[in-house]
Amino acid sequence: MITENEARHLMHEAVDGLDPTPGSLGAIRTSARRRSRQRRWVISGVAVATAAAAVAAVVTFAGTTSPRRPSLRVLGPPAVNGWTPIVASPGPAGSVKVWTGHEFVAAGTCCSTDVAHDLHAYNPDTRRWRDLPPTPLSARGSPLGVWTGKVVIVAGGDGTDASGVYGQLRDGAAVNPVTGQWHRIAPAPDGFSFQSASAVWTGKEMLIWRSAEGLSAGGDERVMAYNPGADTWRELPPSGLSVRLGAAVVWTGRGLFVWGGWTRESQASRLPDGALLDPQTGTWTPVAPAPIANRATPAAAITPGGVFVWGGDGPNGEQLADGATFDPASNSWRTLPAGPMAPTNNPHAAWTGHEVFVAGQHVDVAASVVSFSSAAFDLATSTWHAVPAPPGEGDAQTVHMLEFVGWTGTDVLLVQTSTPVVGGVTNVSDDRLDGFTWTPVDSNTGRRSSTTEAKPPGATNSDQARQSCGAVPFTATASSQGAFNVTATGTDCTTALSVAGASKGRNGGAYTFADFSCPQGSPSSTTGMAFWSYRCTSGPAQVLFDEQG
Amino acid sequence: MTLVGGTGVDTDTELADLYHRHYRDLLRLAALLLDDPSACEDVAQEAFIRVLGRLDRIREPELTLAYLRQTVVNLSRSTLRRRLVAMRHDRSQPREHQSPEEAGHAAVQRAAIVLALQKLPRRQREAVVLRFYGDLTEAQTAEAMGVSVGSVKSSTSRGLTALGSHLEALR
Repeated sequence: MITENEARHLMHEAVDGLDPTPGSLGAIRTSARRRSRQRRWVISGVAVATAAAAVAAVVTFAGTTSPRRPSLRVLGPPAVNGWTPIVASPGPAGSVKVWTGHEFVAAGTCCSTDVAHDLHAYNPDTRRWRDLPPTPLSARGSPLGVWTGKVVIVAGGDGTDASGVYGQLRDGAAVNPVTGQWHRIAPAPDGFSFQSASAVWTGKEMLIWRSAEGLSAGGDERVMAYNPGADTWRELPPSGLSVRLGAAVVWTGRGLFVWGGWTRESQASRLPDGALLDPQTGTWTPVAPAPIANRATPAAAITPGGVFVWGGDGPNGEQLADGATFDPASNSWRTLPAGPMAPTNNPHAAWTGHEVFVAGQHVDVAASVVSFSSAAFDLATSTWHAVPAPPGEGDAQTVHMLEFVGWTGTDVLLVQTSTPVVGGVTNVSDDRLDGFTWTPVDSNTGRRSSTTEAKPPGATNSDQARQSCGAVPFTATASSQGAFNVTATGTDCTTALSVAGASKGRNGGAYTFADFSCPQGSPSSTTGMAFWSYRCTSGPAQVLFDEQG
Repeated sequence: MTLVGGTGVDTDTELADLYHRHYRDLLRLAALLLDDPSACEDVAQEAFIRVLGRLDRIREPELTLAYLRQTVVNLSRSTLRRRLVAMRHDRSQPREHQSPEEAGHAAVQRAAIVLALQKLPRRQREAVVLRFYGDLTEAQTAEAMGVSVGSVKSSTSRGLTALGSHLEALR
């Protein structure tokens, strides 16, 4: 323990040489004036927005050429370069970001410990956000979140517990986004901290891997698994890897892949090793040496070909533009061919059922300008091809940070944090989530790419996981249609194929089958043939497919 | 000094007065509270911008400093996590020459006491910094942190103990 006077002396010694940047007063003055003008604009804009909302409430019918049925479409900001904008979230950006198979669910506060971590859900079909019912959890910053196929689990975070003590919280709760019902879950074991942890859903458990608790912070590696069926926690052995941050953490379908990162002592370090956990046996296997440079924070996604790893921060702090795939079954790597993407910051990747979609940012810090790069890698042919990049953000009034790239079954979903900048100051408490969606089109057929999402290697046919169920055979006559590329989430393939098969003869119309409700299909552009994309739901369970007419 | 806006008093003059009296101290306070001292300028500027926009609602001028201090504490909390992510961007920007201010930030970053403070839980860090760097009373610290005086007492005591251990480990 040190004395109060020693602490006082050391703190003054450390910061008393710190002086304001020249021009600070001018920057404050300019920002204050600009923000004052913005407030006035917002107030006067309410009336305009009200009128605009009345206009936007009018719906249009699109695709009315016979025999297609009319499709209800919601007006919104126009697409740019094929990318449809996502309107800003109703609350600040948060740490929870999951795709539920129907909606993108995100938390409403990022890092304030003073505000409840309420959730919002974005529906790409309606292009609208909605608020989920208030969380029963106390105010907290940065909890973890996973989607189980039925509920979103939110756990941990830092805040004040019931006795008024501030620290890492161990409690959590789960919400069913369809019913809006929350229930609390058993707290994590004493002494476990969620800080800087990563969470994945294994199909049965929420698996949490934590190494260092933060930069220059304490903490040892710990692994926890929460079983929502039994409402119990169990601790798994650590990998023995050196303590780290910025590692790639991916659920492979059978195990947890942890690779790369930097040490908590030095952000300049790049770690070359990794390990693979089998949560059933609790055993870790060292990952074979990679054929690519050490790196931290690469894009990583599970594909039928293994774990796709691309880009990231290289050994000298540079941004990398290469990658490799790791096959967990053979514990071996395969180097990716060179691609069309330049090195980017903050890369993310998602498997779309055909390809790996990769996106990253180019950041001009001085101008606060962000532009995107994107490309797709075809596993079957082992080739890259360029895809339209999301629109760049060319103003200096907002800083954008890519946070999430996912696949909805039909669209790439790209979500970023947009933080206002006023006078060179980023106003993090006013940040919002927004972004874009993009529908890939098959270059050969001209139709939308399929909605299949292949099982990860070794994955079981868990009815909780999204799985590709194949197709319903069809005969291409005027009166007989079939469904193909059937994808199931939260139900088994037998049921999913039956639901899809029941669409025969509907010609795009709405129908119900068993407990599944199938609203009328959306028409797709085709090369000479008509298609309808269906999204059938029964509670959180979902069946996606195209029907050919 | 009149701190009531909209009464004909020159807001620029008010701002300059506030700035010269408090900005430097609040900048240094933020440097001790943050895990990335280079963000202290952002936090201090933002605190001033926010308070300036609310001067007409601050009825007692002597409370302005308390309000500024509380805003710095709140902004430091919300900036912690964002800084971790933002560092990814910063690393890609090579900087050959450091300005004197950047050199000052780097010196703060290297100081053992700053590294030791960063290892403390946030509440203990805030209590120790506000009590012994800010020289606030326990009641003022509690107000700035938004907690009870009892919580300040326990956080300060635990914080000093942990700080000593962390400093020892760094030596």
